[in-house]
Amino acid sequence: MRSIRNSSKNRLALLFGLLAIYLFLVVVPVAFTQDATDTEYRAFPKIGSRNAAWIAAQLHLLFGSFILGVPMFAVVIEYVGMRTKDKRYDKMAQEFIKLCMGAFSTTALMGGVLVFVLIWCYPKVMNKMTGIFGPTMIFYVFLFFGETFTLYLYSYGWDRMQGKVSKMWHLFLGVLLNVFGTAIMFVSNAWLTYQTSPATMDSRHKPIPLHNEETGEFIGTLWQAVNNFTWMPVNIHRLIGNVAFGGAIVGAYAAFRFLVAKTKEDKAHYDWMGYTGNFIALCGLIPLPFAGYWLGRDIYKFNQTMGINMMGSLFSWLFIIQAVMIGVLFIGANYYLWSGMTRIKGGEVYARLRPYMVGIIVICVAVWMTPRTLIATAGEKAAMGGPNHPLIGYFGLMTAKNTVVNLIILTTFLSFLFYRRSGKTPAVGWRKAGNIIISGIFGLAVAAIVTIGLIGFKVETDFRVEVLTPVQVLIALAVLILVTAIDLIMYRKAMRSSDINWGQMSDRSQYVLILLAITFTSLMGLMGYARSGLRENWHIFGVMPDTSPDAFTPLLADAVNVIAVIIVIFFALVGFIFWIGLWGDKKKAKLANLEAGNAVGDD
Amino acid sequence: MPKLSLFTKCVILFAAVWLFLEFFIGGVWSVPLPASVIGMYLGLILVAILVHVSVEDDRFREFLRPIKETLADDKRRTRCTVLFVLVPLVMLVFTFSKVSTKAEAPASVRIAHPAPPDELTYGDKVIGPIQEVENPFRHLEKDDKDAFRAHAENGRRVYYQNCFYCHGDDLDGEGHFAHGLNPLPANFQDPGIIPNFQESFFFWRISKGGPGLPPSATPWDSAMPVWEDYLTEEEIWDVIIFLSEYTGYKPRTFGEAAH
Amino acid sequence: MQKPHIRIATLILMIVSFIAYVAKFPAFPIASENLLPWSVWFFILALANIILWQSVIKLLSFSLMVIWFYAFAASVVPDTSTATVDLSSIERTPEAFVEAGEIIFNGKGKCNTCHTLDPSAPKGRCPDLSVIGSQAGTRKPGVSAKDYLIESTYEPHKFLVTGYGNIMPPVWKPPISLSELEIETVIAFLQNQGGDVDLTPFDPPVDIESAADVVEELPPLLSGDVERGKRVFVDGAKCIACHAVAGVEQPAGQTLDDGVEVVAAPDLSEIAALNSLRYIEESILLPNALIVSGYGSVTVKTGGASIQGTLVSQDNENITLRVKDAAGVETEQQIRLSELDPEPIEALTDLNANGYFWIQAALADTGETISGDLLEEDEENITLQDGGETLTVSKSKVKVQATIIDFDENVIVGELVAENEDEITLNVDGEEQTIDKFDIDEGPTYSRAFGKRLYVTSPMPNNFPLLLSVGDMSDLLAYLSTLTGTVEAAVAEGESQDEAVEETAE
Repeated sequence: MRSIRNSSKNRLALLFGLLAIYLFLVVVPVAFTQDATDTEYRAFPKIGSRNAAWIAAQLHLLFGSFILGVPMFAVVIEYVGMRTKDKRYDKMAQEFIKLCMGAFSTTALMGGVLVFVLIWCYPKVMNKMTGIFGPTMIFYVFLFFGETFTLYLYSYGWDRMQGKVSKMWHLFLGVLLNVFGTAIMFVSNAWLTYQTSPATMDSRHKPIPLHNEETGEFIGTLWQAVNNFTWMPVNIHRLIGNVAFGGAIVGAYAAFRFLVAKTKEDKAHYDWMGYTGNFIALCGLIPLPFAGYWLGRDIYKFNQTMGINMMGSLFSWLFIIQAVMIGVLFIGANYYLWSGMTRIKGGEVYARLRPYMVGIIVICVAVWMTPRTLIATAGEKAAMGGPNHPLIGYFGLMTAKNTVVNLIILTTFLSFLFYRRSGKTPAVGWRKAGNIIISGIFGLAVAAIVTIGLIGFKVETDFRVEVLTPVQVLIALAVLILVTAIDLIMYRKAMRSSDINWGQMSDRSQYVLILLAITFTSLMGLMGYARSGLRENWHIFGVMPDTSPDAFTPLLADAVNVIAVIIVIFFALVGFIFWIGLWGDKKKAKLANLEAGNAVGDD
Repeated sequence: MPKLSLFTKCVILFAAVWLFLEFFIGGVWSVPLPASVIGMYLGLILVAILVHVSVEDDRFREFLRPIKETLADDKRRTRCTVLFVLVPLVMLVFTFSKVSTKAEAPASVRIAHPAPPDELTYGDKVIGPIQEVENPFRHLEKDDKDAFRAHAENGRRVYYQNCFYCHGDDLDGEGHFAHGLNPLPANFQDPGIIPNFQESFFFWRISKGGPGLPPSATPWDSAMPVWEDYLTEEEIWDVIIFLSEYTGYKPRTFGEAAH
Repeated sequence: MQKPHIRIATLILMIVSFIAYVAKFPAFPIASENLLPWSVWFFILALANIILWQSVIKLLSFSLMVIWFYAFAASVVPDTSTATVDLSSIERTPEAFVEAGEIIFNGKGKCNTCHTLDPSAPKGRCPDLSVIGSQAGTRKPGVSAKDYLIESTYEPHKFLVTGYGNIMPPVWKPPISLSELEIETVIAFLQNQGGDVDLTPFDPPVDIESAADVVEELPPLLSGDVERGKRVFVDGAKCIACHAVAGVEQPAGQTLDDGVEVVAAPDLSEIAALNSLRYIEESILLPNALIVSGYGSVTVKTGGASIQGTLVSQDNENITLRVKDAAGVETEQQIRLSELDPEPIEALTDLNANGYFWIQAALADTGETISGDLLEEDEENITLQDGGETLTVSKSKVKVQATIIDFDENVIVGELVAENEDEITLNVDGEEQTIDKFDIDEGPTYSRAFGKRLYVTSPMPNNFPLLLSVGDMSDLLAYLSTLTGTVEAAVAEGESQDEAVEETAE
C-alpha cells in the first residue's frame, strides 16, 4: 500500500515537472519566432516590466540555487555516509533529493515565466541576445535535459542502487547531476555577465570591446562573448555561494523540523541535520568574501566608472545593508556554534572565552559596517568638519574592512575549533606543546593581519590591492589549513569524555538557523540587484541603451521592498515544499507504527 | 553591597558604551559622532549582550528573572508601577521630539565619490577612455627627474594661484573660503581621497568641476569651477602631479605593482 | 492563551501590516509617516505573534520580521533615485501632468528635500504644501493662485511665507535645472493639492535660455573677470558707496540696503600698489582684522550721553571724533579720556580686546578701591598703573557690585553680600540692606568693576563672505588687483597679479 501511495505522488510530481519543462522548452522557441523587430518594449500590467522580470528572474535564480546547492550538499553527504558507513548520512541525503524534486519543477516553471516576461516585455533585447547567444541556448536545453534525467535517476534509483558497486554508480550519478547543474549555471551566467561586461580580455587582462563603437554591431566570437570580463568571477562566486546557500537551506529545513518535532529521536536527528547544514554553509561562507573581492576587482578593471558606481557612488549605501547582512551571518553562525557547545559536556571550559570572542566579532562587525561617508545632519557634519569623522573615518577605508573581515573569519574558525574540541581529550603526549603552537599561530597571524592593515593606510592602492590584501587573505587561509592539520593529528585518537547530546539544543539556536537562511537569501537578492543595477540604463552595458520608462535606478528602499516580496514568495513556496514533505513523513511514520504494531502482534 | 543581577550588569555595560561613544570619543578624544553611527554601534552592543546571555539556558533564565519578577511578582509592585509610568513617558518624549519644530536641514544624501563618464574630454577634445588615459608627464618620474620636478613646480604654481583659496595651503581642504562652502572642499591629506582614484579621475573632476557632476551625484551643488575654461590641459596634469607629490599619496593605478 | 480568535486576529493584522508596509500604504489611523508608520505596527504585531503563537506561526512571524528588518534598514539609509520623466510625448491632460509633476517633485526637482505634503508633519525648512492648491490664491494679495505658483517656482525670493527664510533656489537654475515643461508639471501637481488643475500655457517670468548661459559659468578666483569685478564693486556689493576709486563714479540714485550706513572709507584707487592681495582679501573677509587709522568707528559715553563717530585721532589724553549730527553735518569733537564715563564690567575677561584702558575695582578683602590704567591682563590677574605705582590684583578678589531697581524705580547700587532664594543683601555705603526679591522690578545686574573704554570697530559690514559668491569674490579681487593708481597700465600687466599671488602663496 505504501509503495502505491508513494509512487502515485512521485508520478504526480514527475508529471508537473515534465509539464514545466515542456513550457520552458517548447514555448520559448515558439515565442522567439514571433516578429520582434519593431516593438522595443511592451509594458507589463500593474507592476511594470522591470519588476515583473526582476521577480521572475530572482525567483528562478533562487530555486536554481536550491536545486544546484542542495544536490551538492547531498552528494557530499552521501559520500561521507559511504565512507563512514553511517546510515544516517545516506538517509539525510535522500531526504534532500526528494525535496529537490519539488523545487526542480518550480525552477523550470519560474524559468518559463521569466522567458515569457522577457519576450513579452523586452522583445528587442531578447532579439539581440539570441542573435549572439543562440547556439548556447540550444546547448542549455540539452544540459537541462541532462540534468532532468540524472536527477530522476539519482532520486528514484536511490533505494535500488545500494549495493557495493551500484552505490559507486549512484554516487557517480550524483556527481554528474552536479556537473550538469554547474554547467547550466555557467551557461546562463554567460548571458547575464555579458550584459554587464560585453568585453573580453587580452593576455594582460585588459578589456577588449566586442562591439563596433560606431554601429554597436557584434564583432567578436561566441566564445569571446561567453568568456567575457566578469564571467569567471561570477561563476566562482555563485558556485561557492550555492554551496553556502544549499547548506543554509538545509539548516533552515532542519530547524523547522526540529521545532515541530514531537519525539526525542526526531529532535536529535534534525538537530544533527541542522548542524551539518550549518557546517557546510560556514565552509562556503568563509571563502565567499574573497571571491566577492575578486569579482569587485574585475569590475573595477573592466570599467572604473562601474566600479566607482558600485563602491563609492550610486550603490555605496547598498553595501552598508550588505555589511549588516554579513554581520548577521557571522554573528549568527558563531551563536549557533556556541549554542552547540552547550549540548556537549566539557564545552563549559571554552565558554569562559566566549565574551571575548563576542567582543572581537562585534567590534569587527562595527568597523565593517561603518560607512566612509556617515549619515549626518547638517549640524553634525559641521561639528565633524565634513562628512568624514576624523577618527572613525578610517574605518570606512578598504584596508580597515579587509583587516576586520579576516579577523572575523579567524574568530569564527576559533569558535569551530572549540566546538570540535569540546568534550574530547587528546591522546597524544605533546598536547600542551600543540596548544602552545596553535595559540602562537593565531597570535602571530592576528598581529600580522593587523600590522598589514595599518600599513595599508599608507601605501599605494595598487600595491595594497595586488599585494597586501592577498597576503592578508593567505595568512588567514594558512592559519585555517595549518591549525586544522595540527588539530586533526592531535585529536585523531582523542578520548571522548562525553557524547554529543543531539537534540539538547535551545529553540533559539534553531531560530538562528532560520535567520541565517533568510539572511542568505536576502543577501543573494540584494547582490543580484546590485549586479544587475550596475548596468544603470543599459541593457548591454555601453552597447544597447535602455530607453524604457524603467531605465532608472530606484531608491534603495524601493529595491529592497521588491526583494522582500521576492523573499516572501520564495519562502512561501519553499515552506510549502517542506510542508508537503512533512505530510509524507507523517504518513510514513504512521505506517511504520502500524507495521511495528503488527510485528508486535505477530510475536 | 548587594550582588548585581545579570540584567543590571548588562544595562550598566550598555550605558557605559553609550557614555564612551557620546562623551569620551565625541568630547574628550575627538569630535562628536553622528546620531546614526551611535545608534548603529548601540544596536550592535545590544546584539552582543543578547548573544552572550542567551547562548546558555541557565544564563538566559537568570537574565530574564528580574524582568519576569517585575511583571509578575507582587513584591515588586512599585517597580512595576514605575515601569508602567515610565514607558509611556518615554514614548511621550519620543513623540514630542518627532513633532517638535526643527529648522535643521535633513540629513542630505551625498554620494561619496561620483562616477566618472566613460570618456575623458578636455572641452570638446576627446582624450580617451577614462580607464586608460594616463598622466602624460607621469613617465618623467622615471625618465627625466628634472623635467618631472619642473612639472610638479608648475603644478604648485597653478595650485597656489587657483586652488588654495578653497583647498587650503596645506591641501587639507581648509582654505579661506572653505567654511562658506557646502560640500566642503576635498581634503587631499585624507588617505581615502588620492589613493583611491586614477589620475584621469582627478583630471575629470578638475576639468569639469561642480557643473560636470553626473546625474547620480546629487545634490550637484559643488562650487568647484569648470577649470578647463581657465587652465590648459598641461596645467591640470601638472597640478595633479603636485597633489600627489605634496601629500605623498600615489593615485590609483592598475596592475603596475606586480611589475 | 485561551482565546484563539485574539491570536488569529493578531496574525491577520500582522500580515496586513506587512503588506501595507511593503506596498507603501498611507499611514493609519494617524495620517503621518512620522508618528505611526506601518513599520511600527508591523514590529509590534510581529512581536505579539511571536509571543502568542507556537511552532509554525511563530516561525512565520519570526521570518517575516527578519525580512522586514532588512527592508526597514534599507529605508533608513538615505538614498537617491535617478528616476526622471520623459516629457517628450506627454499628453496635455491634468492627469498626465499631475502624475509627471509628482515624480519630478520627489525626484529631479528635489522639492521634497525641504517641502512636506503632510499637514501633520513637523514644521520643516520650507512651508508644507499639502493644501497649496487652495491656498495659493490667498498668499499674496492681488496675485492669482496660478501666478503665485509661477512666481514661487521661478522667483522664490519675491515672496516669503511668514516664518520661513529665503532659502529656496530658483528651480530652473543649475543644479536642479528644471525645464519649462517640467516646471509646468510641478505646478499642475501643486494645484492638484487641494485645488483645480489649470493647464493654460503661460509665459515664464524668466527667459531660461538666455539666463542659463550666465549662471552656468563659475569663474575661478584669480582668473576672475576684471570687468565683472568692477560691476560687483559698483553694483553688486556696492563697495563704491563708501570706498572711492579714482575714475569710478557712484551710480546716481543708488541706495543701500537697510542697516548699512554710508561712512567715509579708505580710498582704494591705489590699493593694489600699497597692499598685498592677501591683505585685500583679508580686509574683505575680516574687516576688523586691521583698521586703517582714521576710519574706525567708536562709541563713547561722557556725562551720561553717548557719542558715536569716527575716530580721527587719539593720544594719551584726548580723542578726536568726527561726528555726524541729525542734519548730516559733520563736526569734529575732542573728548578728554578722563571725562569718559566708567562702564560696568560684567566679567573680567578680554578687557583689552573690548577696548578697556582704565579700570576701577573694589577689593573684597580690604574694601579699598583701586583704579588706574590697564597695563596687563591674563586669566587670573589684572595689572593697573596708578601714577608711578603698579598694582596687580587677582580677578577673583574683586568685589561684585549689584544694581537693583525696585518698583518705585529707586536704583540701589551696592556690594553684594549674600543672596538666597528670597532675599538679596547688599552693602550700600557701609550699611547692609536686605531686599526681598518680591520687591525687585529689574535686576539684579552684577558687575565686577568699572572701566573706561574705547572700542574701535570697522564700520564695514562683516558679512561679505556670505554676500559674495566665490565667483563674485574672485572677480572683485581681480578688479581690486588692477587698482594700482594707473588704471589702464595695470590691466595690461598681468605680471603684477602673479607677484601678488606668489606673496600670498608663501
